[in-house]
Amino acid sequence: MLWFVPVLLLLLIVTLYPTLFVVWMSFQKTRYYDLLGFVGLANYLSALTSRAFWETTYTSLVYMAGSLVLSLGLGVVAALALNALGRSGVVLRVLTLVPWTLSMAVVGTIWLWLFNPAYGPISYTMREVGLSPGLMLGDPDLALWLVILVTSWWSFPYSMVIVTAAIQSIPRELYEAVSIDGGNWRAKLRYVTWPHLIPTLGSTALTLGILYLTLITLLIVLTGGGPLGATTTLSFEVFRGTVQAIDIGPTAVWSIAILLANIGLGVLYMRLTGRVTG
Amino acid sequence: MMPMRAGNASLYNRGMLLVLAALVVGSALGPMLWAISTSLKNEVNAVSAVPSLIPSPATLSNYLSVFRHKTFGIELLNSIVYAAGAVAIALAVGIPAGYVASRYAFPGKRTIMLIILATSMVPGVALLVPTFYLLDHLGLLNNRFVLIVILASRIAPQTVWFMQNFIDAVPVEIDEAAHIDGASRWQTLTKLVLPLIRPGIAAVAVIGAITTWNDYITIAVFAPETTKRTLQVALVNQVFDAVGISWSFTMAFAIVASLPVILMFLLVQKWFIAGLTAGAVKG
Amino acid sequence: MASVSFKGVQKAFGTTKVIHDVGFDIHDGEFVVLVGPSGCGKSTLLRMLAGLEEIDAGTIAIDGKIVNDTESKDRDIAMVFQSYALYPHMTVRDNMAFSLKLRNADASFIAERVANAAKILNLDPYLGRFPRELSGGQRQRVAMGRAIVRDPKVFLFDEPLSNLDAKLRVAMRAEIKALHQRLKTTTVYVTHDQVEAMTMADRIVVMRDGVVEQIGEPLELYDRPRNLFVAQFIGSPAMNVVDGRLRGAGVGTVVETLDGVRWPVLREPAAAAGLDVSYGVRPEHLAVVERGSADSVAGEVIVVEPTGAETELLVRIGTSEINVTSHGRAKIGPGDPIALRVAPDSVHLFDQKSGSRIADGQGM
Repeated sequence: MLWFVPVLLLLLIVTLYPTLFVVWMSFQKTRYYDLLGFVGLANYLSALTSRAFWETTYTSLVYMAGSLVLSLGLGVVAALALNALGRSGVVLRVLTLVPWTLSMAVVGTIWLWLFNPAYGPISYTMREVGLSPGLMLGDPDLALWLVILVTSWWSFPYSMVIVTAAIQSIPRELYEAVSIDGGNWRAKLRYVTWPHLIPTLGSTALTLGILYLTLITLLIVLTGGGPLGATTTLSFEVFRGTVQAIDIGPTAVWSIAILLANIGLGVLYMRLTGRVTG
Repeated sequence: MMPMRAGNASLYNRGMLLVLAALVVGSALGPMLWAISTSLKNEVNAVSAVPSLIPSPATLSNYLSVFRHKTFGIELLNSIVYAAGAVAIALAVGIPAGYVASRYAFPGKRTIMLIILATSMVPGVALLVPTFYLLDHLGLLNNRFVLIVILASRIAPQTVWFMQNFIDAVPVEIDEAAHIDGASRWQTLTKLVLPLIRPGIAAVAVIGAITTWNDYITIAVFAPETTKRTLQVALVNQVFDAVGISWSFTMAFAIVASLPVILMFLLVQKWFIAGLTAGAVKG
Repeated sequence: MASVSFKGVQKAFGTTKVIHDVGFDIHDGEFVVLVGPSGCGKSTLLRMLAGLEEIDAGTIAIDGKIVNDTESKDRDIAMVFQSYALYPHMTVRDNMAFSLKLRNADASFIAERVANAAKILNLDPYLGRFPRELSGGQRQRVAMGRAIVRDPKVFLFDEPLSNLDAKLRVAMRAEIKALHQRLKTTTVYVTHDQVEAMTMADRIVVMRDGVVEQIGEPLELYDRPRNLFVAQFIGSPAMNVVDGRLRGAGVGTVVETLDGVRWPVLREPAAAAGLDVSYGVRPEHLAVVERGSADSVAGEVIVVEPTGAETELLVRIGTSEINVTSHGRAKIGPGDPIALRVAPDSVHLFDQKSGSRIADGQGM
């Protein structure tokens, strides 16, 4: 149909063509941004055999897993608590959702200030209770965990909203049936709420996993990938490779790794939610 | 009834619940309150050894400095132009596609919808290197229109799907009645269908505008020139300038850069939430 | 005003054929009702006439002109939908004026047409309202008004009354009929309700599984249904049908069922004794009589349903359950023995294998 042409043109030119182009780039010998000819799988071999690639992949996985656990956990607790409040919970839920609407640049900036080792309220509180705040985001052992904390603060409201929708879609009769059978709220949580939440948690985890995998700006602002590469994820490395432009062949390979992982998670999501368009 | 209140609605449980809810809301809003507090302090108080939440004396001077800052005007304008332009393009291409997707069956439609789905799975980060290369070779870096088109392509797939869903909700008999009344396909869309889904269009526009407004990477990588910057890029650049940074000014700047987004969100929060949950909950 | 003609019309959705070779003519000014159970193809046929569905084979002509490749808007038709399909964001006036505006008619002409339609349909007080502010019956009238202002060659109605409650349906039925008598516009009306068809139509087209079963005036269909399907579809309560074998000859012919009941035919059928037939008689053609009366069958009452003017009885005769509509009130209860007499000239015989009507022999 003719009416599909504009959107297809847009997506073919701006998304699909560069996607194919990055595949082509990955088979090229490069120096800076110059393509110097076909080299087969050389870039792939060097990437897949480099320590940096696997260390970065490991960091990405830790970052994704940690953020997922914290975001989903907080999301479930927040959803249950605010949902149980009834009417007043609706307003509180909207307020709680505000961090999710903020840009990663703003979130990063705010937390950079909160984590400020000299003047931030967090380091101050730690000193007051007798802990040494150290360098906070400047501490290679701590930085990744703090970044996970910030990521979760920003994204747990999303989990909360999805989980709330799932809870509210549970038929009330099921809870009434448990009541009649003599179950308390613990039984309801265990036998009604929880089983209904599992599939939703799965799909939410995939959505957020994709987001964490491809997230860059927060890392740029909070740590710049440091200290000592402690928070350098695959996506951050692709960003650095793009702007530093020392040798973009390997960067193209890294890009493709992210692309494939992203498509894998996306297809899994489609399978899980049974959502197929067409 | 709600899971936790049901059955054993003792005062103790209710009390625990309120504490828990307060913790949730507090942890979400606390950092933002701290940012607001800092933005209202003068530069000296902002970095006092004993931080306090209540600014004393409170001052609006940081906000004045933000508005008076020499590049603030162009950055604000860029943010607005990029967001409005991207949303306009996304709607312009997304509405006709969504209409056809909702109303017509034809061979190849499934393929087209799969292409749109596939492009939505390509992350922006994977496109950084090839897009930069291509724009560089075409001399199109730092081009406002190119930026707008790239941003529009990011929100185009979701725009098509949302439009398809909204138009699905309009009875097809309305279209048929219009055809018999003599309306062309275009008239049916513009005179009948679009007025009926106006709230939906507003919601899609706002969600797209928020996404675009919040973007940093696209602008920062493809438009390094300072005159092409947005508020988000300017904010991050302040942070990079670690030595000269004034935290109270930066917080004021961050808040100003966020206000349009928060206002838009509050305006369409119902739709915003509906948009987040669409398809995410498996019944 | 115009005639409509279907010739060899066919339609399939995917591999499912929904219209098989349909052909019939509608005369100028006629009110024709397409009726049949759901899925019989009546709505599809109407939508093909409206130009909302492609015609796979055959032709449809309006006023002698084949319209297969003519767009809806150029067919000069107007349609009233089951859901009314009023434009929700337009007032009643704008709803009615929309088609004329699209045709760039001038304002005074539009105003005159809308005012005229509003007067006919008693919509004057509602012209400034939006559809959501109207009752079901009023919306229905606006939908008709939208059709009237066009002054089209043909009116199409697609189950227009099925969203109304029973009482309003009867009132609107009369209103639509009166409107047709006033405007004399050729009308094609689709319904699944045979009562609607009987009360409104000049001629009825009965359809089943994409095939026209019979076309005729309402009483013709009632009196001489061409096959078992039409016999049981037209009339309420439905015709009683029992299967048996023709025995005897001439006016004394009977149909004997397997359980030994002998049903009187009361005329000479154009079929030989020994043929397996279906014997049909309408509930209103059975009268309660003394046991042992001539031409009667005996049985036992199962259910008595008084409706006021009439009494519906369910009677067991042999192993068959037979509906009887009896005028007045029966002093009779479940379990009572009963005898029923078949009214003369009211028996329908159908070939058991083909289901088609067996004509009368000479004489009657």
